[in-house]
Amino acid sequence: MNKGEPEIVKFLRDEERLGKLHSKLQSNCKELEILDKPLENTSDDMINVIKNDTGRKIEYSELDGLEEKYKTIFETSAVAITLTDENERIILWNKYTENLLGMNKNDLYMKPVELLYPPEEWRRIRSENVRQKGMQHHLETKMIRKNNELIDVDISLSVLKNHKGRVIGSVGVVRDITQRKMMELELQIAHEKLEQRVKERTAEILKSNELLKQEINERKKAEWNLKIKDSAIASSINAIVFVDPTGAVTYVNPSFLNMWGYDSEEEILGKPAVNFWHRKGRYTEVMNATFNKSGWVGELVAEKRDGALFDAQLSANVVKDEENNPICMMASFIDITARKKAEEKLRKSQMRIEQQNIQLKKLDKLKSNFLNITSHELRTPMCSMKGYVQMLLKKTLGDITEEQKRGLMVILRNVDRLDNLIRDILDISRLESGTMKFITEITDIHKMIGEVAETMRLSADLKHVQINEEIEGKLPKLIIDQERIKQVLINLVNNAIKFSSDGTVIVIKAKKEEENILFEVQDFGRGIPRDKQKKIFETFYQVDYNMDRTFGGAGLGLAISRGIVLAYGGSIWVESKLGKGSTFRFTLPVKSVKDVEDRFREVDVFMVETDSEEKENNLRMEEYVNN
Amino acid sequence: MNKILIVDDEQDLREMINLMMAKEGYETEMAQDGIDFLKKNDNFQPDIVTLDVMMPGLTTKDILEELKDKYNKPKIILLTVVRFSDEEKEKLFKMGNVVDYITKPFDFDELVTTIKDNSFD
Repeated sequence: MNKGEPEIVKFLRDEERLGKLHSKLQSNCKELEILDKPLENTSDDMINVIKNDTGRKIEYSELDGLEEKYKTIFETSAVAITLTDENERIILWNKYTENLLGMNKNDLYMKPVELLYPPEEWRRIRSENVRQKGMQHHLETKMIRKNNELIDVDISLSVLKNHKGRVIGSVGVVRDITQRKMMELELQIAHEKLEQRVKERTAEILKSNELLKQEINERKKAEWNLKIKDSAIASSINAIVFVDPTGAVTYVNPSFLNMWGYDSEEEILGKPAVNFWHRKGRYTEVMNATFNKSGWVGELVAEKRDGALFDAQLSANVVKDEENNPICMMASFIDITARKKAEEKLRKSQMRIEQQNIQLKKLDKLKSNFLNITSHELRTPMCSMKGYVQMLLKKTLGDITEEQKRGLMVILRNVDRLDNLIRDILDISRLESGTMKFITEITDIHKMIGEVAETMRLSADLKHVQINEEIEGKLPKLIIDQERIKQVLINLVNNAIKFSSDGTVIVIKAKKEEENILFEVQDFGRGIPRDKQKKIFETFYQVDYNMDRTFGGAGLGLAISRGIVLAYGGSIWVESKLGKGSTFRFTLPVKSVKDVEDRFREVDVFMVETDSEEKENNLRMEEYVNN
Repeated sequence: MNKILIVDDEQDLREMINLMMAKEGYETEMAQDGIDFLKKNDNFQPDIVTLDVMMPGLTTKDILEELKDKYNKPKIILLTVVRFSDEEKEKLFKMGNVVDYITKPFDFDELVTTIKDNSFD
C-alpha cells in the first residue's frame, strides 16, 4: 500500500465492500484494475482511479457492462457529482461538474473542496458539522465558478465511512439552482410587489371606506338635522307659514291649522296668504317689507276660517337660495289675544292705580294740611296763654300774691305739658306719614350736648339729680338736623331724670366708634325689666302706666327718638338692670346722610310712604318763596 | 321811641304781643291781615313788624312783594309754626326786610329779646 494513499481508495479496495458491491451487482463484476496515474478524462471512472492508485488488477467479467452503464450514468448525469477524500480534496467529478464550475481537471484534481465555496458559505457548511452528523445531508449554498461568478446550488452530501466508522470521504451531488433561485427571487420580488400592491390597495380601500363612513355619517347627520328642523317646524307652538314670492302659501304647520281653525293643509296650500288677514292692505305692507328689507316684526289682525278675528304677533323673514335669490317668506305667529286682553287689563288697572294714586296724593295733601292746620290751631292758643301767664308771673301787669303765683305756675306747667304733647303728636304723625322735615347743619357735638345739659338743668335740679358730660376730646362735626338730635337727647335725658332717684347722677357720653358717633345717656334709677326693653320704643308704650302718669308723658318720646335715629342710618337700644339703672345708646354715622328724608321714608317702622314732593304742606314758607 | 306793628289774625295773640311790647315801652299798632298791614304800614310807618306767616287773604309772599315798592320798609320778624332750613332762611331774608323769625309757641323772653335786638337804641 502506497504511503499517503487516500483512505477512500483503500475503502474502494476493501474486499469486503467489493464483495458487497459484487453481490449488489449480482456477483457479475470482474476484479477492478486501479491505475496509478491521473485520469485522462473524467469518463475514466473511479475504477480507473482505483487501478491507478493500487495497481491491483480487477477482473471486469460480469461487471463490464454494468460499469459502462454507471460510467454513462455518471458522465451524462445532469447534476454535478464530486467525490472528496478524507482530507476534503476533490478526487473525482463528472463532466457536468466541469461545466457547472467552468473548470477543468487542473482546477479540480486533489484541490481542497473548500476552494469551491465562498468563505462564509464554507464556514456555514463546516459549522453544520456534516461529516460527524451522519451519512446523508442536504443543503443549499453558493459555489464559486472559475470566473468568480457565484452560483446557487443544492447539494446532497453522502458521507463515506470505512468499516471502522471512520470518515474516508464524501460524495456530493450538486444541482445548479441559480435559475430556480433567480426565479424564486423574482417570484419573491413579484410577491413582495404584489403584497405591497395589496397593502396599498387595502390602505386605499380602508381610506375610501373611512371617507365613505364619514360621508355616510355626515349625510346621516344632515338628514337628522333636516329631520329635526322639519319636526321642529312641524311641532312648533308658533304657527309657521311659507309663502312664495307670488304670495301663495306653500307650507303651513299644524299650529297654523289649529290657530286659524282649518282641518287640513290642502285647504290652505296654494291659496294667497292675504286671505288669512283681516286688513288686506296691511298684509301687502308686510310682504313688501319682508321681501325688500329681509324682515318684518309686528302685530296683525288674523282672520280665521269662520271669519273670527284674533290678534297675532308676526315675525317674518325672507329665505334665500345660495345665489341670494328669495325663495320664500317664512312667517311665525303667536296668538296674542290673551296678552292683548292682559295688556288691556293691565292698562285699566294702571289707570285705576293712577287714579288711586291721585286720590292718595290728595288725601296725603289733606293730611299734611290737617297736620299743619292742627299744628297752627293748637299751638297758637298756647302762645297767647303762655304769654299772658309769663307776663303775669313777671309782674308786668302788676303785683301778684303767692297763691296767685302758685296758680299761675300750675297753669304754665300744664300749658308746657300740653304744648309738648301737641308737639310729640305732630312729630309722630309726621314720622308716620314720612313728612317730617330735617334741616341739616354742621353740628359741634360738644356744643350740642352742652346745650342739652343746660336745657335739662332746671328739671334735673328739681329732682336733685346732677347731669355730667363725658365727651371724647376730638370728635368730628356732624351734618345733621341739630334740633332733631337734640330732641332725641332731651327725650333720653328727660326719661333719665324721671326715673332717677334723688341725689343720683346722669351721664351724657359721646365718643367715636369706627364710622359712628356713639351717644349714651346713663342713669342710676330703677331700670327697665328685660321683657319691656324693646317695647319701650313702640308708640304710646309705657313701662308702667300708673307710674308714668305720676311723671307725665304720653310714651311718644322714645318712638320719636327711634324714628329720628333710624332716619339718620343709626340705631338705638337700651341696656338696663332693675334697680341698677339704664343706659340708652344710639349711633349716628359720621358720614353725613344727605338724603336723610328719603332714607327716612325707607325705614320700615312707620309703614306709610308718601310722595316726597307732596310731603310738605302748602303753608310752608318754601311756597311763599318759590311761587 | 321804636314803633312796632303786630300783624296777626289771632286777636288774643295780637293783643297779648301788643300789651307785652307796650309794657316794654314801644309805640304799638295792630293789623289783622295783609291788607290791613299794608294800609297801616303807610299810616303808622312802623320800624319793626311781627308778621304771622299764616293768615287768611294775602299770603306772606304777596305781602313781602307789595312791601318792596312801599316808601316805608320796616324790619320784619316772622312768626311761624314751622322751622326753616338755612336755604329757606337765605331766600326769605333776600326777599325783603325779613331780619329774623320766631317759632310758635315762643317764650315771653324770647320774643322780647328778638324784638329788642332789632330795635334802634
